[in-house]
Amino acid sequence: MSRDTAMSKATKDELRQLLNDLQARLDGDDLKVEQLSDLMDQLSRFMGDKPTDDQKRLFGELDELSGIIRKMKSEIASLRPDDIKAEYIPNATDELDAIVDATAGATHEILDAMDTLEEFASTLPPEQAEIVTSATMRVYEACNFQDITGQRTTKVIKALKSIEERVEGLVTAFGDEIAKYAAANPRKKKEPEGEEALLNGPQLEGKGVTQADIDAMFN
Amino acid sequence: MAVDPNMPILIVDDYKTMLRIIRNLLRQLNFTNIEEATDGSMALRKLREAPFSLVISDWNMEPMTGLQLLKEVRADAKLKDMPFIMITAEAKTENVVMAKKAGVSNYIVKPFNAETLKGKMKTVIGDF
Repeated sequence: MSRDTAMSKATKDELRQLLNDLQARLDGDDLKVEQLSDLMDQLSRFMGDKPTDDQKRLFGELDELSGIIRKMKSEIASLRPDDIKAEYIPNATDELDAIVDATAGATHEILDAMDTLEEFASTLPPEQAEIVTSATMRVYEACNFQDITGQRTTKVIKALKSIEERVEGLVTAFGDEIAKYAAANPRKKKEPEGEEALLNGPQLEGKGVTQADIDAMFN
Repeated sequence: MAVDPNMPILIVDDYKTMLRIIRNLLRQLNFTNIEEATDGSMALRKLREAPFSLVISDWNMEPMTGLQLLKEVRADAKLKDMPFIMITAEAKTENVVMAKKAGVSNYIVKPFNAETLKGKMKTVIGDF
């Protein structure tokens, strides 16, 4: 080996340590994709002043791979998966839960009203009672919808939770990158202004003002 | 033999609204002796404690599903001949096949109407 390409003992030891660490991570299945880019950078430091053609080709490939990983990390960070996990999915599941609760509550109200009607029907002459009973039966049948929509909504909530778990994996893997991106790219989301800011739709239980609160404002 | 409108019927569903709807529909069909359970294991306990003439059960419940309840019923020497109607949103062919294989007496897909309930009950317990 020529003097130009020979490594010092300290450099060899450092490289050996790096390769041993890499092997240990591979053996322990503990090598994360976000660490690859750094590893490439570290390995490239060991290329001598006059690398062989094979070394150049290898490190060229490694450099390209490192670039691809860096780009991928940046693109994933720019999607802000932390927002998806922290805000969008929880909000969506809360809204869906609220739909189920609201329709269940409304269905019980309808059933209560039907009970009253049935009691009333029992005081009517048979022909009139039959008309009321027939109508209440149709209402009971129609109330089936609540069970079906509830089950469908539950399926959607489960799907969202599953997406949330996967997004959480991304946030864990690319947490540093996301934090860097978030710091460098503060939100430019245009907040609605004026009357547009007042269009927020129904509020979840306990989030908005109650009628009592509103009445108090008028007294 | 005429069906006794006072026959005890056990309805099983983890959804209280659905229990109420089925109970009211049965009441309009003149059946008044109705007991409720909110999952398979509660239903099985009630079936072993008191006599019933018909079970109307949902499928998708926890911890014991309607299918598991059906299998338990069919495996129990005292309950094995119990008329058992499944009322469920599970509408895949394989569900119906599985329920039939397990010995279900009839199968109603939600949403259903009183006419369907009455028709299936007639095929299972006789005319009324």
